[in-house]
Amino acid sequence: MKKTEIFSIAAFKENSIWRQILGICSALAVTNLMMNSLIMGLGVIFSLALSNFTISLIRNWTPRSVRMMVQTLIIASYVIIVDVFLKANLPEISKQLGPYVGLIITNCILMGRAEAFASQNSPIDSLIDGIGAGTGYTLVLLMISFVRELFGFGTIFGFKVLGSWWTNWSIMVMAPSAFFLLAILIWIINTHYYKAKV
Amino acid sequence: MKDSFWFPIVFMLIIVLIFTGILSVMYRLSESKIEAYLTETYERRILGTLAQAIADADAGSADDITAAYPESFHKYVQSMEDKGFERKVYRAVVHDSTVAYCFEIGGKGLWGSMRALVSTSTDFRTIYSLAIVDQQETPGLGARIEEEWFLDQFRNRLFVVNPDSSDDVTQKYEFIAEAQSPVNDSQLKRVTGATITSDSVIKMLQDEFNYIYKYYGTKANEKD
Amino acid sequence: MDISGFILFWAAIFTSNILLTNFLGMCSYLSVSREIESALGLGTAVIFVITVTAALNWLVYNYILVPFEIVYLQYIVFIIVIAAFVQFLELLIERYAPALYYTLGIFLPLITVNCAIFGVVLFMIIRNYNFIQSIAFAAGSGIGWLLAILMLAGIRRKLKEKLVPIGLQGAGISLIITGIMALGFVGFSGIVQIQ
Repeated sequence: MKKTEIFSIAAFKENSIWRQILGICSALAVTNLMMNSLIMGLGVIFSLALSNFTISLIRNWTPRSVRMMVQTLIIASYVIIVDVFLKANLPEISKQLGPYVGLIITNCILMGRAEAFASQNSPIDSLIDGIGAGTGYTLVLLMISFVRELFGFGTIFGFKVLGSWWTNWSIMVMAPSAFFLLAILIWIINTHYYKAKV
Repeated sequence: MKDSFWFPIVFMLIIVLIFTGILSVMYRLSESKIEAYLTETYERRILGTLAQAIADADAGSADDITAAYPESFHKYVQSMEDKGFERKVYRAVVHDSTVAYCFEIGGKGLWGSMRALVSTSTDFRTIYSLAIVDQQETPGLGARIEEEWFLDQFRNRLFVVNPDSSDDVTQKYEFIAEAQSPVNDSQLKRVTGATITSDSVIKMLQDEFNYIYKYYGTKANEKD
Repeated sequence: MDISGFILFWAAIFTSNILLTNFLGMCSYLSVSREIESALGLGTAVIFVITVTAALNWLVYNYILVPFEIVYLQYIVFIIVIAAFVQFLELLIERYAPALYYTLGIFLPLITVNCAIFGVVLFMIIRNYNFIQSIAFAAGSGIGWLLAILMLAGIRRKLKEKLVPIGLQGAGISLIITGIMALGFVGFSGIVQIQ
């Protein structure tokens, strides 16, 4: 498989959220603002790429019985490395990411890609798959948060777009709105992209 | 070999050692940087809450004082040791007399605890300024209590209105929506969609002021 | 901290439901809610894992991490404890209940990263619960999660899914149902003080 194919399959055709229904928890919590989604997305891309790469490197040595623990340990380590690095060098961004660090570690996408791809493919391919899956995830998050932020706060990335005539939709500010938006997104994608037929 | 009994255990141990090793090294190396950053942010916050009082008593504006960190911090701010009082206390001293106090207070929010710094007048009845140090509320919702418009509501606010009460010495408040304007002094704007978090801030202030005022307010003559 | 374990237990099931109020534990919830039997199986496993790992992690945190000042390793340690326990449980289920093992499929290892379990551990640390409170809170959260997944499974069984538009079948309609349930649970927030 060509490298670009790996990327596009991971990001679009087998997108983690709308196709595999993984990584939903964070999709609800961080999509209230686009900035939060972007930061979370970047954190996921970084951790996912590196953990996929590492897990793939040692895949031939990992005994079956401790497979899950090894994967978990590697995933958690990379996330914390990202967190410590940010805290020390980019503290402002770290403050934004702070509450979400825990969410990245338990993000099912990381474990899911580790099991499904990294444990059976070469390191470079796994790295690309990780970047692809992370990018697909980030795109979905940005799409949902675009709607939520626009209708809930009248802003995009913090810039006021809708004037004071706009009444903020409280439901967009609350987490359950992400459920509905995600369902609509899945509906649209299933109908047009996958051409779901009866 | 992969399926023998000992290999998985040894393998696990090696991996654990490698990764926790990397993490520990990274952490130890960054520890002092992180500490320094946290201390600086904390001290700047204290200075920020006391800046106006200092500026009124000395020269310059509040902004000049805050910008002159760390010199202005070491010049004007002292930490107070008081074994009987369970909070951190700082005071701003200008020309050998205290112009304001700053207390670190804490309370419970919706998702976790919150800590704040509140500066008060020397009679401990008026809030000069409030700054949030730590909170775990929902980003974009409860976390908006850190925004200026919310905290500014507490600037120069008389908070202790019943000094002789043995119950609650503070002002009672009602919350109004963010989009409305307060019609009198007992109305405060809450953060839209974050009623509980907004309530928690007030509850924290009321509980802590009761503690502070009953301890220091009555000893006001003993404190210089 | 004077909140009784008893109150925490009930609050964790209803008013601060780990899934419908805190939105943790979604992935397996959405996928395993097709059949009531597998929902029941997974839910029971989750209750078991949550309660035991909360207890274990509480002990590890208070008797190892804090005294040795390695609290910064807490995320790793907690997730390892959870992963080890789930791996152990997987071996047990594979041996003694192979039908359940087959139905659960990939979702058994995914219990490890079930945000609900990790989230409960983090909450108990942040809110400084003592041992009894932690166990009560964890058990209640597990039961709350089971309750949520059973509700969804029950609704889906009754739902004439053929009437749902093609693109919305499966995950889509589950999300909408969950969203409505979550909105209902918003009404409970703050009723019972749990910290």
